[in-house]
Amino acid sequence: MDFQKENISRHNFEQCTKCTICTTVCPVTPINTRYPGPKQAGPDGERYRLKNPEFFDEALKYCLNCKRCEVACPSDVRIGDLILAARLSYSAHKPSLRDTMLAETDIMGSIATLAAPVVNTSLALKPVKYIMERTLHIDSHRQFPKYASTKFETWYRRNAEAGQKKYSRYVSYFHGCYVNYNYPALGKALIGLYNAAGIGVRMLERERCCGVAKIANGLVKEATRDAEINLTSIRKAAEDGSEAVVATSSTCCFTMRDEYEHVLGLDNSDVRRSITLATAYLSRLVERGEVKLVFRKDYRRRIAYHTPCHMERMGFGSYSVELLRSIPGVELTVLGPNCCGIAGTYGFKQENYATSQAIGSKLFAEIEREQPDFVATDCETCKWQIEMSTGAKVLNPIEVLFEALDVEATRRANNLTD
Amino acid sequence: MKFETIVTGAGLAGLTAAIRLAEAEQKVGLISAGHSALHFCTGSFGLLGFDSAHKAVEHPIEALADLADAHPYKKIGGASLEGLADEAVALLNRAGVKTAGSARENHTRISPLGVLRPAWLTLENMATLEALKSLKRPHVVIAGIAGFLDFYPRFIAATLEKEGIKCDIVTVDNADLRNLRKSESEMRSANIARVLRGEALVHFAESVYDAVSTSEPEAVILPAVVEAAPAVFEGIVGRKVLFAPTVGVSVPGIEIHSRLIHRFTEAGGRLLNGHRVTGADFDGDRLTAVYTDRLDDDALYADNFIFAAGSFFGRGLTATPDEVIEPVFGLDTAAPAERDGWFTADLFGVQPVMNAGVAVDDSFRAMRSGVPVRNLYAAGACIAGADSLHNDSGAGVAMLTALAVADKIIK
Repeated sequence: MDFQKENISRHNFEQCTKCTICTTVCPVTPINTRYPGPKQAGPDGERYRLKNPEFFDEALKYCLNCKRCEVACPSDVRIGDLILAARLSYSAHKPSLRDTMLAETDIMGSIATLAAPVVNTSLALKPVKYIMERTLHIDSHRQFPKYASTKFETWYRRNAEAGQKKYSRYVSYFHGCYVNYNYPALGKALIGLYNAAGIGVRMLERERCCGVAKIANGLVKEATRDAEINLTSIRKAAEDGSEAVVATSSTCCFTMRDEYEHVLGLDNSDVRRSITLATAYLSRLVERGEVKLVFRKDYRRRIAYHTPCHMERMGFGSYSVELLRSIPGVELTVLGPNCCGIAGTYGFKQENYATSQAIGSKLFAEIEREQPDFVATDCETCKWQIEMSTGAKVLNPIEVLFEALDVEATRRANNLTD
Repeated sequence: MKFETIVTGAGLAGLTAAIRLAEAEQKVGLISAGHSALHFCTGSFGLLGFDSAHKAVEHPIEALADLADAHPYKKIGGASLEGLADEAVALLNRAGVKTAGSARENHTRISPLGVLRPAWLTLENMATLEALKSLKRPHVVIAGIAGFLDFYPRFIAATLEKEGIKCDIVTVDNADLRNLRKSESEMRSANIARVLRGEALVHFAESVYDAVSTSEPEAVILPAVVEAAPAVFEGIVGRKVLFAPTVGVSVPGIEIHSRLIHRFTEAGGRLLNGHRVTGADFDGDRLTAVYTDRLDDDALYADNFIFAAGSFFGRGLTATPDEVIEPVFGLDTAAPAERDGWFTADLFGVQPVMNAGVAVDDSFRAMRSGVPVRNLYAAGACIAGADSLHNDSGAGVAMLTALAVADKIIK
């Protein structure tokens, strides 16, 4: 009899010393008493589940997958991965139509952008929100991000692609669903910023959603299919001479770097280091003196930076923060380590709305105290949540850098002519 | 990324050094691989609670002279220790951590199991024997919380009664606590504190008032399950309120941790949270850069480095089957040579392995292959020669070595 068969986990739960520090940072436990907390749901529960899957508790669905437990853990236990993997392996809950609609960002985005004005108007109408709440259980307080009438990819092919060939060094841009279907302006800012610094921006041969929403909603097969397509394109880009794959969304970046391996079990080790955040890549070039950024002298802003949970887990916060601080007229505050509460599609679900807002309340109060000109953050769902809950305007650091950039002076500083 | 000083480890030692340097306008990077043992700090700090014969110490500064020569305090030197101890109090104060106590004379704290122990500093709102004895009448009420298993009013009462303090015991309950109790595993101090905020804190104060209103005591002792109770809390309860530590993760400890982190970032320090140092570049006897598990190949450069990753819990030290090693930089360690010599049979006696740690020179520079690394200093529990469990000196060793090292870097 193989005793070890029922003892070995793909995750490192054995390293847990039962210190309970993880439970002190979980944003869910003080709000929702049905959630058993990260220690119980993660390493403690894993021991039992390995013996008998009947020990799986459906209450694990209340986990936000924010990974704050992992950041706090002194023993390096991947608590969040343990919980997520258990949900994907054992949950008997089948994704509902609503879950699938929220998770299938590519399908929904492609349809919505075709009729963007109609969709945007309808999604904002009270009767439509009421019907969505009653039929799909999508909370009526939520404002859906507006859909763009032209996809970013389409705009890129028509207006930008040809011009990128003249840059001797270039990166591939993983724009993600939000830039493609809702907010092409961020992608345009990235191209403007990188081009001024002498870096070309190209697209991947094929890009699918990073998969985070599918993973969260239990659509493992679909997420794996998308992940494999993305990894193939990323490998191809590296072979073709792309210096890196940069994302402007911290969660897309985190999902491809860490969740592909830890949750979907895909081997991404050959390309993991080349997948990075747009601010991380740029800040390395600036530090090595390969690129110079010159900012407008008249740019004066008070900015509060919110570190998204997945950004905190990636450990990339300093890249965005230090770049923003390098703008001479910027006064920057880093907001406290608190989750905004939306956790992607979680906060859109009617049953989670109240929890989601209660979790975010500490962050909202801090923003209201700070009264910044705007909030900067690297995650689009944090942006929606903060904008809806505080009324503050939220920008991605890349947009801020581009807005503050003296484009002509930067081009000259990087010896770009024509 | 470039810094003037990089500190590895954000426990009490790392935070103290990092704050001191950031306040001196250095650009400091603080690397934190998970939260520290401060989370279990009861709200009291020890400088030297017990001497080597495990006798309670009354006057720590005087008693330091009797410590073994290998003890880190001996490297600081008696003359400087007193000044550094005062500096530590001032630093805590600047971070908003208000304490009572002095390095010249220990006072008496009450442990989570109701045992009296010597202490150097105790948070102002925590119950000490001295504070209780200075009450007008020696009569208190100890309020437990229904369903909360990490606080033992009867143990505390038994101890205090022996000291001539009359104790009543009551139990507090209300709707918020009943709701929280639905999740039995999360009925812990830190989680209660996160629920008892805003209106819930007012309700809790009212419930405490209801529970104690019929008795006559001068003060209420509550488990430390609320964050820095404001004066309004005491106003509602209607008596002096003092807190006693709980078992397990400690609310006062978490509060000290967050205030120190806040002070560090407020002073301009850069926190790299959730990063583990995985490698280093040396140039002869100098450390030039460190790497973390989060930043791919990005080097973190600095002029000076402080190693404050703690002992076994913090993983500044690791024990293999036959040796104690420092796993990141490959620093020299001082530990009993044979595993047989690590432990003694008396569980509560001196365990020689607890003296193990990184070998340092007289300036706390870490030794590597027998030579001090010129710009790498060690601070806190990772340093060899301090059995802080036995001496109850963890906080003192952490803060005083950190300040000593920071001073050397500033000069």
